[in-house]
Amino acid sequence: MTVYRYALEQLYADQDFEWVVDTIPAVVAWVPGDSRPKRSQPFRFPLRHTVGQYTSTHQLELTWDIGQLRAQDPTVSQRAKRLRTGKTVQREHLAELAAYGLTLVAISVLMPRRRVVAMNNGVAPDFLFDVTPNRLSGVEAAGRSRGGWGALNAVGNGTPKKRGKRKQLLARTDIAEVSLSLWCASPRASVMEQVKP
Amino acid sequence: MNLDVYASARATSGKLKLKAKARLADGRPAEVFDACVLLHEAARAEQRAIRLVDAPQETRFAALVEACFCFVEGLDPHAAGRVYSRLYQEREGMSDELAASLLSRLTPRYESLQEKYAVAVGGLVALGGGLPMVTTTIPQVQRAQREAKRMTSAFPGVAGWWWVAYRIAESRAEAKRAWNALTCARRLEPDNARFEAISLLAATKALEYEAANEYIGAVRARIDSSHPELCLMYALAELRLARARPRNRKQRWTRALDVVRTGLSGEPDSTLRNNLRATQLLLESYIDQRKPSLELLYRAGLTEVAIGAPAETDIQDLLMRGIASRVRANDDMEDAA
Repeated sequence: MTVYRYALEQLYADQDFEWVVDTIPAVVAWVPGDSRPKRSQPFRFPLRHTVGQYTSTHQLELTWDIGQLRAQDPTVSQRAKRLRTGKTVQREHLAELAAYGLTLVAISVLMPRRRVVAMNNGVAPDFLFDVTPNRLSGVEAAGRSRGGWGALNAVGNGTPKKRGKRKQLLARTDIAEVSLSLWCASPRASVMEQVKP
Repeated sequence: MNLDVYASARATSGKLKLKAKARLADGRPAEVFDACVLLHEAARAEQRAIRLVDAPQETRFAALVEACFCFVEGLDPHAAGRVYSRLYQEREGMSDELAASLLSRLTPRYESLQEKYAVAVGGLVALGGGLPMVTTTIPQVQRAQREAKRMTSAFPGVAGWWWVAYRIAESRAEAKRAWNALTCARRLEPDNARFEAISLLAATKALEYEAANEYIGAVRARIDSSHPELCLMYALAELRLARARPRNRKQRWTRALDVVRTGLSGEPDSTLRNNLRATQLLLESYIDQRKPSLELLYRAGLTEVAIGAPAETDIQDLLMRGIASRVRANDDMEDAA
């Protein structure tokens, strides 16, 4: 098992500013959770990493220095607080935004030197490394607030009522390379799985 | 295929979407409206990206799904519906499995938005038919205003409802409120020539003289014969400013006359041509220091405006009121949106 230590402020160096800046407040608001014991750094995510047929389990230890984050985005604390208190009409976007931020972290840790160049919303994958038509390459992200591994398995494999993300991605003939990045806040769990090729 | 340009257009759209999501998560009405504006822009960037390359069918389809999703998230059921309809045309020949995968995220969100919108529209009384075609009693107009506010709060991405809010405020002579509503419509649809044209006249009512002058000055350089309505409204705006500060009025009249002639050299429809012609005759009489009379309205074919007007009426006011009432009579949601 490898322990990956990552300081969130490093994300500004590893990925483009525009992709990072709007996800950081969500990560800061979402990751610590509600209970006091979970709110101290480093925040540890068990990470199941699958490449081809090989699956290994690691740990991601996430930290941040709010002062350094504020140097990049002076509004980060204020925005995180608003998101944490949930007094917004669109709070369901919190998990999604945080999952985007954590996926950028996972890309930076597990796929060194790969940088996101574009982003999808309505169709998978969310983050793109290559936008060549019919040879798309990227990472699909999803976040769940609770449910742990069970919730993440349901996202990947699907349920009797809903097709899983893995099957959806495999059905797409326009995607050449794609991974699945799933995150759960309580209990903490994460998956990074190469679905194609 | 120019992939660099394509990639750049897609990256622009992606960044806009991410910014929009952060604003949606913030939740305050102003932030949500900003998010709607960003998502509309992202949808346009998505459609632009696909026009830049000779893309395969799957890519075109995926870009349309993205654009539709942006409009759904941007709370605009009208624009989303238009793109959704194109998706039906584009999917012909595609495998069902691939189309289902591409649509899996969009369809539930799209249907939920349309359902909410249908409920909201079903609850309208004063605006049930779309727009208040003829404003009658004050309570009716007030009710229409309340309903327009409800629609712009629930669906801030629909430019058409901001246009409705503008028309109502304008009919009540609430210049500032009208300007704010029109500005929202314009931010959502910056390429809408009618919004831009009307905004010229609205600026002269709502803004201070200097600000209005600066606003119409910024538009002047872009005026050409392909937008006769813009030419007409520009000329009317210059007329209003000339009356507000008579010192440079001859310069303003001459500039306005040039623009009116530009508008007439295009291909305006008959109503617009009559309005432009009347404005031209009015400006020529001002420049020649002749007192304008009702005769110019008859000569321009604006008989309905001239009939019933007292002989000593102010022709400029009469013409402006006549043009405004025609804009009102031609209003509908589809025109606006």
